[in-house]
Amino acid sequence: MKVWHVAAPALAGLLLGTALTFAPAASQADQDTATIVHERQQLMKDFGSAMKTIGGYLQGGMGTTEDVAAAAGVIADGAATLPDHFPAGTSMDDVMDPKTGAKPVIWEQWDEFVADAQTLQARATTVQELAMAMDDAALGDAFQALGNDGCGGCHKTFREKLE
Amino acid sequence: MKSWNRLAGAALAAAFLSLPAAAQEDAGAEDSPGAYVFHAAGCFGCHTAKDGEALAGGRALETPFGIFYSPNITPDAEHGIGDWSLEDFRRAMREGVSPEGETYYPSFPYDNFTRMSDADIAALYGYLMAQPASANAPPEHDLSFTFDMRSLLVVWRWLYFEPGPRPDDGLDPQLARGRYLADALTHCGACHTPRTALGGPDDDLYLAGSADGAEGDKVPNITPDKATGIGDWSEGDLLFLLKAGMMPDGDVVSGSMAEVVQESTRHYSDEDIAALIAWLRHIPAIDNKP
Repeated sequence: MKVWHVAAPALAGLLLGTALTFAPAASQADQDTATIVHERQQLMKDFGSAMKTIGGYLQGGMGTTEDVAAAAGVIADGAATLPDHFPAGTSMDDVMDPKTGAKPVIWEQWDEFVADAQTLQARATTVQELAMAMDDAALGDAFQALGNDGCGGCHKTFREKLE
Repeated sequence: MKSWNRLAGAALAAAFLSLPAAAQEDAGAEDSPGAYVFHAAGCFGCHTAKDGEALAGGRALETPFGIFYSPNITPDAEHGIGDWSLEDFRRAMREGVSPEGETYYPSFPYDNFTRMSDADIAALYGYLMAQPASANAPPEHDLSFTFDMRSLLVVWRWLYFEPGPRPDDGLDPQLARGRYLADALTHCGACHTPRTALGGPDDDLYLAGSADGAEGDKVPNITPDKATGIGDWSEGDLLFLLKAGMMPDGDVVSGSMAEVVQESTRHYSDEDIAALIAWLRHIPAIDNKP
């Protein structure tokens, strides 16, 4: 007991020293998390543009099936790397600047999150293949599946819509 | 022409004659009328807990009034609705009263479901009774002091509850169907219409968005107001939203709306999609930013 009392101030000093030593590193980490959030938000924006391209083709005959295939390819390729963009410590509770809508539940249900990314990749690949085969008739349903199972499946649980 | 008419008539008659038997046999099938009502009304979402058995209840609904836990609506006789008659079920949906005579809290949106037709209620009953039973017993509601009193429901019902389907109000059939889908089945207003302090819908702000929807999310204005609603969306935009969840900017909806699209609106027939879109473009534009 006595030993502990004597040791306590030393321990506190050690902890303080540690904190001081690592303070500059923490701000470096902040920059890193900011970069991570920026990059994944850009990835999502790219997905959104790709969805618009596919939707524009289906809705108004804008563009060609090659455009649709390329857009679906952007989503499929991005989906393959998607979990890498979500390292631990980058949830909406961890990173304030920039704001992120990544719910902490992502890391509580990581396997499901990864499975959702794989579903996204699979659905996007289906759209890509149908577009390359110029199968317009099947493309509408595949697009619906991409939006619902791919994007929406993950958004339902893991994403907070920011204003 | 005449022979075609006669043929069509015969086919139609045959279809109607075979309907009761077919409905009875396949009440639980995914292409049955009951399944269609089930999806459109979005029963699954609220009545299924995360990783829980389908329709076995226990999903927490966090509201400003406390936490509601949805009941088990599988055909289990003890914990579900297995011993309910069609009349019991009709009363729950139409009047918001349990077979034991207990009044439901409006977290169960019976102020919407009361507008359902007898035929749809019966079809839904048939579908639910054909689903697998679960013996899950969900927790009791955990409500804040003021609202933990069923007697207050008397006031709520007096203020806000009008039982029964609505007259068509001279609406053309497509608009009437669209209103039926929005109000009686998919209950859009349960989230998109703000609530008063007493928890009733603020009808002056019908579908004009809510600052505190279920689960604390902000819910957007979906009236045709150009500035604060969706007045500048094309019909194609609305179609894509309801079928694929995609918004005009390419973003895809999140949270509760992702669920609504996945479980309800994507299953709509083309005619019903058109009817709901027509209704959403017909309602008054309200300038309201939640």
